[in-house]
Amino acid sequence: MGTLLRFENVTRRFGDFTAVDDVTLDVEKGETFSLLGPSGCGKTTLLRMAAGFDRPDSGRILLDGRDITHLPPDQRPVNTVFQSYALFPHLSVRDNIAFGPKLKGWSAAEVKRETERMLELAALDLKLRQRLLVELDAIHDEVGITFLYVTHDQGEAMSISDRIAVMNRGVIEQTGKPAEIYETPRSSFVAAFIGDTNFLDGRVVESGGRFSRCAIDGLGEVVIDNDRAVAAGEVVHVSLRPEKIVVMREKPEVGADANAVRGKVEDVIYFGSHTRYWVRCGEWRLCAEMQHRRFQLDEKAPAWGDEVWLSWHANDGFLLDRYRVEDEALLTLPDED
Amino acid sequence: MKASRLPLITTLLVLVFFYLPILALVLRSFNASRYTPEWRGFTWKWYERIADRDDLLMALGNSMKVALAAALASMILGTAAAFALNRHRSRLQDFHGLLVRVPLVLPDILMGMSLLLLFVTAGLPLSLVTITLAHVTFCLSYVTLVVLARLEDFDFNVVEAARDLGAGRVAAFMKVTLPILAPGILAGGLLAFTLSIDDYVVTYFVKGPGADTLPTLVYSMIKKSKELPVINALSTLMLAMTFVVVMLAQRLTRRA
Repeated sequence: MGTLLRFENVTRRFGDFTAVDDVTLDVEKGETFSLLGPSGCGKTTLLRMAAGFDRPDSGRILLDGRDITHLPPDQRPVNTVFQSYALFPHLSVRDNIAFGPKLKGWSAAEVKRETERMLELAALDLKLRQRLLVELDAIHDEVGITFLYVTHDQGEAMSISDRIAVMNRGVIEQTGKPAEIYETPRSSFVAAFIGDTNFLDGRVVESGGRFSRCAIDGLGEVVIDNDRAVAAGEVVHVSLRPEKIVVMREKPEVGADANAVRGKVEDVIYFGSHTRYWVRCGEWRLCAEMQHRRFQLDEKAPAWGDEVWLSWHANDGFLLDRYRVEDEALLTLPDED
Repeated sequence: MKASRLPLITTLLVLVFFYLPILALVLRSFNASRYTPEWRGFTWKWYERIADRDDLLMALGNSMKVALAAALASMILGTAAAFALNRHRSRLQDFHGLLVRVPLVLPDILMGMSLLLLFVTAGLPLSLVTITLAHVTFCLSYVTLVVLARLEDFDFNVVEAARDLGAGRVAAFMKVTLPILAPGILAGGLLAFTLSIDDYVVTYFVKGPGADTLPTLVYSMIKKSKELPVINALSTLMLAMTFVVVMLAQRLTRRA
């Protein structure tokens, strides 16, 4: 398909604050691309620069290969849907719809015909189209235009996007398909901002081959996939998602590519579709989630105070840098109760 | 629960305090008696006499010219000032905001005196032009504050939406910004108009000989008591006009 919109080393500062910091990003033709991040991460500034409401201090913005960095908004084939809808309060519904077409110089008859058609459409399946997002998705499927969507809601971003760029402090931390972002986070910010995760501080004991061995106080040594180069002695931040951990009463048989650690259940929270366990392992309190197969029949779920084994595959752990202290408040860790 | 009587009582008190003197004036403007307050029958003759007096009509014309020009000028300048105050925040703008508010409480006599000194120093001949300039200086603050209040809840997204839909800078201003702000600007303009048309103190300082406005002429007429009923009639007319303008301004501020 090829690139439609390209941000090339784009930087935008507001006084001392760098809203967008040397961002390079490609949006493919026809895809729904989401910019996801906490407020103030620069996602809206990027969108505003794509629309032409704001200009970068340095860098270029290309649309279909053409430099549009300094083109005013009215001359860009880019349209923005405003969160506040930005309806014209002094105009009727009809005139709101006709505003764009009239400016484009359509004949009165054309404007009237198209306005009528849009009004009919709106009335047809009002119930189905109440949500703007559903509406946008429908437009996307019908027309095949490219969408650049800005949100701080990870669930929204995951469900509608072809690809997502996770932003924090003016930079893109990771770009990829929703599953890539969730399953293989490249930074501890991404791991914690998208979904829930456990973070453990550890030190690399040995690195080589497919796995690294990592010492974590209270857990002993664990094996973790080498998806990034680490050296022995390096301090790392291990990310482990709750649903990747299996909670068992008996010690499981694990091979060289999996882990089993001992712990004691401190809290059990039943959610219906799954149960969340808080398990004490030395100084760590790990969150694990288990689904049920035969909960009322022969399945005997671990209860409060039970000694259990936690097991997970080496591929499910990630060796990341520690997140910044300033970001701690932005990260959604699982609820404690 | 029984409806409270408080609103009724306060409304009556407002009527008594503010409008009783005015009522006396209005009644006397229809009284056939020239010198005494006792009722000697209803008459239109004082009103008819206004039409015969060229100096009154001339002063009325002057007042209208000055008020219209001052209102128009302060609408343009005030809107620009309000935009500057709303769109750009800085220490300089805080100071600007203060400068805009001070004339609201500045004594008229001080303002009139200083304007006169300025015009004389600048060698500007005193005329309707100097009166208009003087009126703009105090009307401006009112228009700025009224438009500024409107801008506080103005959603600037709609301007961007207009640009996004293909409107240039000028088209977006003319088709979106101005129509939405128009009631506020107009309300400010009407306020300026009423302030200008009844100003006496500032006008007294900066008017040239023979360039009377209605208030300054009325004041000089008061010295001759046989003219009093005519002044009453004239005042009643001005009162009616002010009422209409203020009501219009109030309606415009309330809408949207």
